[in-house]
Amino acid sequence: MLAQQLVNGLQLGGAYALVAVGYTLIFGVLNLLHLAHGEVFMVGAYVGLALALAGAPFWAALLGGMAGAAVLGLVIERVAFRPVRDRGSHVTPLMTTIAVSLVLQHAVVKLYGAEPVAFPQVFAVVPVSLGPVTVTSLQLVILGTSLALMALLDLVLRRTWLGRAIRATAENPTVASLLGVNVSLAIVAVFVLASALAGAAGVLLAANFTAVTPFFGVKVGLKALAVMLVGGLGNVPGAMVGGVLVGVVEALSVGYLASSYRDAFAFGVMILILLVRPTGLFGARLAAV
Amino acid sequence: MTALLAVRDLDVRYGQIQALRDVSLDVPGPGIVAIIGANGSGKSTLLRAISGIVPARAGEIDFAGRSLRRLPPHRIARAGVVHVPEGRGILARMTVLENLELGAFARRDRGDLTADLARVYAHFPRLAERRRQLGGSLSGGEQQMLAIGRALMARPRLLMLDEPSLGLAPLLVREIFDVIPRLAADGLAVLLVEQNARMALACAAEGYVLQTGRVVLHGRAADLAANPAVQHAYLGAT
Ligand SMILES: Nc1ncnc2c1ncn2[C@@H]1O[C@H](COP(=O)(O)OP(=O)(O)O)[C@@H](O)[C@H]1O
Ligand SMILES: [Mg+2]
Repeated sequence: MLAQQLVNGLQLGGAYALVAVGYTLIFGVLNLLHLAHGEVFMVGAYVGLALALAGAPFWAALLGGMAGAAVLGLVIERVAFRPVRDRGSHVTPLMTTIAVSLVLQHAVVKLYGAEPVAFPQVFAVVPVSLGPVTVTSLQLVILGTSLALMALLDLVLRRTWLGRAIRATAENPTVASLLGVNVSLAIVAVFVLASALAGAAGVLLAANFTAVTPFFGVKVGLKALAVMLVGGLGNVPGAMVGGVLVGVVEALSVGYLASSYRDAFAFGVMILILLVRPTGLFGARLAAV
Repeated sequence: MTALLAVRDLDVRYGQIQALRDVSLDVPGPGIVAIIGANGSGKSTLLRAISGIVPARAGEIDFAGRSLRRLPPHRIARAGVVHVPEGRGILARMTVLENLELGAFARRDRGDLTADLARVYAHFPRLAERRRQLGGSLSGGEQQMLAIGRALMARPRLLMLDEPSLGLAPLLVREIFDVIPRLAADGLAVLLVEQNARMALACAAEGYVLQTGRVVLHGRAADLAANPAVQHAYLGAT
């Protein structure tokens, strides 16, 4: 039972971490919150849904969701951040991104309606026993994909010139520019990466919950925002660990307490952590980014 | 023969504050040109305007026959003008090695950095010992070495140093000031900003004196060092 809930939690937490990492990357380079990031996640889910309904295999729906979300992230950077980046206060982008999130929710309502749309079963979900635990093939795919994407992100940030440019920009944009980094381009790259990861999480969680609504991104977005704080502002490894932690807490509360209080437990634990450690579990921007 | 860097009639403002007025200056080629002046005289602003991180309101900045004015900082760095800012600009959350590697970002060929790293370590052996440490964990002197080493990784044609001696113990100042002339002797053009006018004029070929945003004196470094007015104002003579 415990092992079973842990597996459920890891799978949920992996998807939260993918969204939280995006928040933290964007906060890392801009010191600004992207309040439409939950809607990027939601749109990614719908793109994946549309492809799956059209008969695409799961991997294609996943890649499509990532690509769709990446393009959306690019547009959001252009319309909601760049025009107000160097002017106005830190509140301005909060307003512009809230506006974007409302527009996106209502656009999807127009297209698909406000009711949940069932995510088609994209492959045969078979139980797999791993010792005492029984997991489904879907759970394995979700967990494996989240882990692989996070490992890939870590690799990009640590080992590639793009990743170095992003990390330098996050730490000090002026110094980065003196080193030859095109800071505007690095910021665009961050939006593309963050949004693609959110899109992947959207498709994975849609397949997990078997349905999506246009408001699918609100709760997950809020939770991922809290995960970012728990992991430490701008701290990428912190967001990864924090996401997994929150997923596990949530799954354990479903397993042992009451399923209807799962969000209360998830947020309760995060609030507790922040009361004890206001800069998050791992401090702001400890390791990479 | 035209100068490698030619600054003409440069004006820079921060809001209402006029930080530079009609500043003209040449860096002819390999060798050291020193800029001295009191705190607040506009030395850092001049370097910032050349590297593009503050805009010039008027004037021209030509480097190797092309105008740098209006180019963004990353394009200026890629053109071979590398600025080590006041305060050193070390990336504290990255290791020494990562800082050095990032120095090569401005280059077109960033394939094999082994030879460049070896050259930097030869100038500053301490960086080799510390290469796995985070930049933020270095002492002030080591950070200055890292900042200069990182700039060298770009293989610049013009190196601009802003107060490399600031806040360092005398022994470290000497270590840094041993390396700068060696770089110049290897063919690098150096624009050196210093409040430590004695050290700067001792190793430079030419010097400029800035006062409240204007060039008030310019000449051979040895002549400036012998000038009673300069001695009185900047070299601590009575
Ligand atoms: N970011 C800034 N905003 C407003 N004024 C500035 C700024 N930076 C420098 N100044 C002003 O510009 C003048 C020149 O400063 P600076 O170039 O830093 O001089 P120096 O490097 O010779 O000490 C000073 O009067 C300083 O107060
Ligand atoms: Mg200065």
